[in-house]
Amino acid sequence: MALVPHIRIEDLSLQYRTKGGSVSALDTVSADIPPRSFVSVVGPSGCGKTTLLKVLSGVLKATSGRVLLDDKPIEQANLSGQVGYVFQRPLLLPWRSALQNVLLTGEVARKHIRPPIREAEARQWLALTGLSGFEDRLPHELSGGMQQRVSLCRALAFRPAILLMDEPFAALDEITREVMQEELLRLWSVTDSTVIFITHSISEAVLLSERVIVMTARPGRVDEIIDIPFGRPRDEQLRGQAEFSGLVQHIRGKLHRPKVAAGAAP
Amino acid sequence: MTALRTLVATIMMTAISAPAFALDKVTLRLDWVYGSEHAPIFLARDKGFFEKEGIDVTLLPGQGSTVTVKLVGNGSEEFGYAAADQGLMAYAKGLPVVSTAVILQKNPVAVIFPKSSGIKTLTDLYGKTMGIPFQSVGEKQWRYVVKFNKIDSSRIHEVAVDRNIAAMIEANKVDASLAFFFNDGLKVVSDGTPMDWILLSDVGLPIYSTSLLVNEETIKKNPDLVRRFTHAFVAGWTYALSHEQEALDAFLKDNPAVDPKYSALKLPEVLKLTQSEETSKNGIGYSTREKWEDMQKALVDMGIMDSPVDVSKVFTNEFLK
Amino acid sequence: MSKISLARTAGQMGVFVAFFALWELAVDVLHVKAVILPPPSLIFQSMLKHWLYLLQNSWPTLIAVAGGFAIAAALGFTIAVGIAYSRWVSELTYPFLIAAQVIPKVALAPLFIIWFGFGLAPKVVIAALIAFFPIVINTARGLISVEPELIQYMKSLGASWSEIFFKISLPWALPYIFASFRISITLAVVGAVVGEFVASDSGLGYVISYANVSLDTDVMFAGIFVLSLLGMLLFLAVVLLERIFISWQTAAEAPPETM
Repeated sequence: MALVPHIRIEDLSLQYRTKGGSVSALDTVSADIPPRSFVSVVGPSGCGKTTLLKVLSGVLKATSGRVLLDDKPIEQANLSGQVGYVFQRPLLLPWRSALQNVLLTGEVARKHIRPPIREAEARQWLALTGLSGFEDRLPHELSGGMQQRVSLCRALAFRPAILLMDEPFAALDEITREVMQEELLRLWSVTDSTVIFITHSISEAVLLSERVIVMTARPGRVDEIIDIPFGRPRDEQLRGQAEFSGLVQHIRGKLHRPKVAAGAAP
Repeated sequence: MTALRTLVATIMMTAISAPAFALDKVTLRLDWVYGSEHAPIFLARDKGFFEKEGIDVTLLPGQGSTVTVKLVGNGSEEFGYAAADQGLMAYAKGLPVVSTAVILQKNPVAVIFPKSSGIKTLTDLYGKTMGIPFQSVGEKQWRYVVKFNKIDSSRIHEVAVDRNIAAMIEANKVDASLAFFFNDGLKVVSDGTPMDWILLSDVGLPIYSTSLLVNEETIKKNPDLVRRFTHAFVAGWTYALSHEQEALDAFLKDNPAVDPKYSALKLPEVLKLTQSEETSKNGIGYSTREKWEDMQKALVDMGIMDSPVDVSKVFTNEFLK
Repeated sequence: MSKISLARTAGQMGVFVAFFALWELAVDVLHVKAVILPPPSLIFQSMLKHWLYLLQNSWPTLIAVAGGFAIAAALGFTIAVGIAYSRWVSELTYPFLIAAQVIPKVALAPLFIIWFGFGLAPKVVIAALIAFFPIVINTARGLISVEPELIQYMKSLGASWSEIFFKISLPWALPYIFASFRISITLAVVGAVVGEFVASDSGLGYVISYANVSLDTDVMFAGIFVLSLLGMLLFLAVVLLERIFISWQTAAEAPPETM
């Protein structure tokens, strides 16, 4: 596998058994994610966004269809130490300082790098997110936004090829959120990672990514894949532009449309 | 108008004789859980001895003489059947408990041992292993006997035991043990090993055992009740002496879960303890001031009682008549 | 000490003082005989008079409690790990654990004397048996409560089972474990004393039971008071250990003490 793989999702389906029968979490999902791209996934609850992420991280296996990483099926690819994850909640270890939390992933996945180097890098990441001086603070001494930044550093500290983010800013207030969006773009620009980003915020998706995958729920299907034409670097000013609003409206319209008759909910 | 007169007469007759139908309801708290050592009491109740004296008695099992003595001394229950030495100690501590009939004239604490051990006297214990419930009242009694008989206890290997005495003997963990002979000793016999024993009372320890106890206040307020109760109570024991099987049957009827073989072994031994020089002359329950004084002296010497009291306050024979 | 914690400590002591004052008053007003229920003043006098006797007998009880608790912790922890990580261990052992917990250990005490002899061993066994259930339950709960997403993440990074256990699961479970320790240390005291009631030749349990049959009710209560003090000191020791080992745990985040 090349350093950062080209991810191709082909007719991915995932069904799981429940008491009532079998449920289709994902139904023939297809998408193309070029290396080093920033791709967002938007859709209503139950459209399988998180399930998709879990398949991409190797935690769940598809029932049919396949995911290729540089033409290699995902089951055969060695994902160990290649996938970073940022959750909606920071999920920091409360007994470790900010610095020690960032070091956690390196302790596990980058043992071949000497500890002093890992530590220096961790400090750099924290500095990049504006947390210099807070390295020795415990999580309960940090605000929600700061904790999420630590979580982000933790995910990036071992330089993953793929960075999966599951609504990472959903729990933050609007102002902090916009700050974090800018920081994320900045951090990402110095890494080589492909980012797959789940969000409920359409404007966030349009601002951050070059491709937005719009999904529908029950079953989880791809409705449309929209390419975002704006160049990089991007900033807040973009939100004011007409083309930006147009794209947001378009996606919103897709999400609020009543379901098509064929394959409708039981 | 004859009908009306008859009716009035009947009502008047009922009113006059009514008191005779109202029995005194009292409780009798025993010293321990029901055992065949209480058989004569069950017999007295079932044969109507209490009813004849105008008493409706409720028997209650006990949880040790200490508790029974506290209940009677505190006024919570009218009558108790518990150890006389506990009653004496209680009186010294301010619980006005009086003994109206000393039923078991000798304390049943003994050195018990299998017949096969060949032990006959205390000195035969030298070189043997003996179980002792350490730091209990029993141990103190043993030390007293040792001193009195000038036994060299360093020549006896003492081992701590508690409620498992029968098991320890059967498992050969001890050659002999200090115990209540009619409980642990006869339990072993019932399980198949013939036993023998040396009562501490026979080797110098003058301790009266279970007696009928009443609160001083009850005696002051209702001496007639105390007399009637004592009569009925002692009558049960006297009758049981010559009607052992009847007593045993009365007990087993009410307590079907108890081992009948063990119960049958216990009763005759317990009845033997009711006999002494004084009781052969004066009937069951009789006690003497001299023996009460001796017992008190022993308790003081043992360190169980701090200071003596006037024993004439602690017992009385007047209700035996 | 800050003003607030000073006031709080004073308040806590005030509760005790009020309790004893009420007791002293009630015994006097209701004319309760000292041999039935002694007034606190008499009990404190007794404690002073027999201080050496009480101190000498505190030691065996303390040893029994410490031994029982240590065994309960070691055993409880081991079984909890089995329950947390093995489905079949969990399903097989749970009903048995509950049945064993419900049996009153007092009933088994005489048997223990025959098996383990007289003295320290049966007390330690009883203390361990009573104390170990909360430890098992809480430790297992703590280990299971680790965020599954985090575990999955670590696994996807290639972490080994022992790395996950020692870096994440075990520290995560510590607050639960210490919560169970608070409960278990008091249960261990109860267990040791129960053992002493039955297998008594030393210890505060024996002091209490012997004073009872000697009708020395004031000494009996003196023993009970000292026992209570001992229990409180041990509880504080656990709280102190808690502060050392999980200093990161703020009071607001303390997990509920199950059971």
